[in-house]
Amino acid sequence: MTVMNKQLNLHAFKDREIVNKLAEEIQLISENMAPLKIMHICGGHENAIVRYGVRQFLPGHIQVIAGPGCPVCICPVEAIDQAVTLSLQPKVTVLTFGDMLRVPATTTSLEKVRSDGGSVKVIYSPLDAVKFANEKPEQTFVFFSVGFETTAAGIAGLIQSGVPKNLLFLIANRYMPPVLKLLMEVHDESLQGFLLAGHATAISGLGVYDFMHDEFKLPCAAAGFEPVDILLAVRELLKQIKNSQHEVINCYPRVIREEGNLVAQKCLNEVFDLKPGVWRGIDVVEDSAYILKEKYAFLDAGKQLTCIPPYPPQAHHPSCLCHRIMLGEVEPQDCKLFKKACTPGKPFGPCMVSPEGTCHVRYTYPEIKIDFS
Amino acid sequence: MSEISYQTLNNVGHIKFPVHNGAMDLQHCRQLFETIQSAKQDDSIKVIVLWGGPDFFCNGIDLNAVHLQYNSSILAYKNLKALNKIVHAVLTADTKLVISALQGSASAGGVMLAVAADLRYARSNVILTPSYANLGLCGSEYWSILLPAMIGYGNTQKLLYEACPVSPAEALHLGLIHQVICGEAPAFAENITAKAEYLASTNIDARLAAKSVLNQRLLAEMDSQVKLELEKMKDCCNHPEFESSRTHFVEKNSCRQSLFLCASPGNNCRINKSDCDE
Repeated sequence: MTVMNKQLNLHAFKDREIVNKLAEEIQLISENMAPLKIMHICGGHENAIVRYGVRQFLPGHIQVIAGPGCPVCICPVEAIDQAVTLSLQPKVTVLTFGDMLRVPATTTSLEKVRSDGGSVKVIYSPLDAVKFANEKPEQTFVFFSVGFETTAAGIAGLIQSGVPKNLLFLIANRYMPPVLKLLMEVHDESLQGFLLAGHATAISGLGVYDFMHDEFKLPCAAAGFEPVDILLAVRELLKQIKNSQHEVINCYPRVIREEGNLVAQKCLNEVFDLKPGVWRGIDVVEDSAYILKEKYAFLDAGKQLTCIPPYPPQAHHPSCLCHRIMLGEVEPQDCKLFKKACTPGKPFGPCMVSPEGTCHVRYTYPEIKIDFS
Repeated sequence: MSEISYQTLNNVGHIKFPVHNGAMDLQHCRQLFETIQSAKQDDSIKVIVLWGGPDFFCNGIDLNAVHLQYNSSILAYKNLKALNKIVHAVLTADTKLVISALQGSASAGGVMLAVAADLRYARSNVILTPSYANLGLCGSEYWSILLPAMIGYGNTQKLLYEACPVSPAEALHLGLIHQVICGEAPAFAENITAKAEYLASTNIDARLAAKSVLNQRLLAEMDSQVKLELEKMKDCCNHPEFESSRTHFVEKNSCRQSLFLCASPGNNCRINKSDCDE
C-alpha cells in the first residue's frame, strides 16, 4: 500500500495534464477492443463523472454506466413509510440526514409530513442524534439511518459507545457486495468490469469482492472520486479486460487498505446481522440489509414502537423508471417524466432527489462539451 | 425437490418433472437443468425421455412465483433464462437422442422445451399453446430458431401472432410433434418406453450421426438468436402489458381458459382415427 502523504495535494487529482495523459493511455489500450460496458456502483462516482465530464475522455466504445450506488435512492420505500408513520406519533421525533426529507414515499414524504405536523429533524452527524436525545429526555427520538458500509459503521460505533435510553434506530443501511450478483444476473454477460465505491470499500476491504473473481471472472477496481482517480481505475480495468485478468484491485490507495478498516468491521459485526433486504424498486438482495442483532433489539424502533403504515408500499410511480435507471438498464432521458414532470423541485422518484442520484446529477449538470482541439 | 426424478433402464434415461400446474419456478428449472446435464453425461444411456408430468408436460415459467416477487420483472427474466438453459441443454445433447413424451398439455416455454427434443410424441388429449403474446411476452427458449426450422416461417408467424392453441392433429400436421398416440396414460408410457428402448439398442450411433449433421446449422446460429430473444424479453418483462396479463392470470386464473377460447375455426381440435396410433 502506498503510504499516505499528510500534505496530499488533491488538486493533482484534477490536473488537466494528468487527465489528458490518462485519456491517451485509455485510448491506446482500448484501440482494438470490442465495445464494452463498465458499471460503477457509487452515486459519488456518477456525480464526479458528470460534473467533470469524465465520459468525454473515454473512447466511444467504452461505456461507464451508473448502477445502484446512491444510498438515498435504494432506501426501501417501506422504511420511509415507517419513518413517516413514526413522525406522526406523539412524543416521537424522527432524525435523519437532509437528503431523505424529499424522497417520495408511498403517499407522502418526510418533508411534507413535517409541514403537516409530523416531527422530523435534520441532523448532520450521528452525534447530533445523541445531543438531541440528551437535551429532551422526555421525548423519544428515532434515528432513521440510510447508507452503505460507511454510514453503517458510524452507527455501529455509536451504538457500541452507548446511547441515551430515549434514542432508537430505524436502520435501512445496506451492504454493497451482494448486489453485484444481482447486477450480473440482470445484465447477463454484458458487463465487463466494476468500479467499486471508494468509501464503502475503505470499510469492507477488497477481499469481500473476491467472488467476482472466483464466480464471474470479472475485474473490479476500487476508485476514488476525482477525475484522475476514476480515469486511473478505468485504465486499470481496461488493462485487465484486455489481458483476460479478473483481479480486484485498489486504485484508491490513499484511502483504502487491502483489508479495509478492521476496527469498523469489528463494530459492524458486533452490532449488525446481514439479512435479505429490499433495494428500492430493484429487488430483495440476499445478505444485504444491516439488521440490529438481538442483543440490541431494545434500540430497534421497528420492535419498540408501532411503525407499520396503514397502506401497502408503492416503490415507484407507474411511469417512473428509477428502478431501471438504478440497475443501469436505461438512462434518465429514457424516462418520460425526466426533466418534465420530474425535477429536483418536484421529484417523482428517488433518483431525482439526492445529489448522488443519477437523474439529479444529469439534471443538474448540463452535458459538458470539451473542445479537444 | 422430489418432483423431478431420473431413472435409467435398458439404455434409456427417464426424466419426470410433474411440477404443480406444469409451472417451473427457478428451483425447478435449476434442478431439471442439472438432471438433464447428469443424463447427458451418463454413459449407460443412449436415449433420454422427457416425460413432464401426467397432467401437464410443462407450462413454462411459474407466473405465480413471479407475481409474488418484489420485482416481478427481474424474477421473470431470471426464470426465463433458467428455462433457456434447459432448452439449451436439450439442444446440445449430441451424444443422446432426446424424446419428448407429452402425456399432458404444454404452453409457452413448455412447448419449446418439448419441441427442442429430437422426437416428439403426444397423447391425443394434449393441447399445445406455443404463444407468449397472451401474457405480454414475445417469447424465448430458442423459439425463433426452432419454430421456423421446424414448421416454416409462415406457420411460425401464425402461431406466434395469433397466439392460439394447437390441437394434436394440427401439431402433427405442422410437424411440432411426430406422432399422436391414443389410449390411456399407461399404454402411452408403455409405447414410448418401447420406442425409446428400441432406438437406444438399434444403430444408435447412426441416428446420432444424422442428428449431428441435421442440427449443425441450428447450433451455429442459436447463441446469437437467443441474445436477440432475451433482449426483447427483457423489455417485455418490464412492460405494463406483462404486468396486467400476469395479474389477470394470477388473480383470475382464467388465462388458460381464455387461451383455449380463442381457438380459430381453422384449428381442427378433433383427432381423426388416421392421425392416431394405438
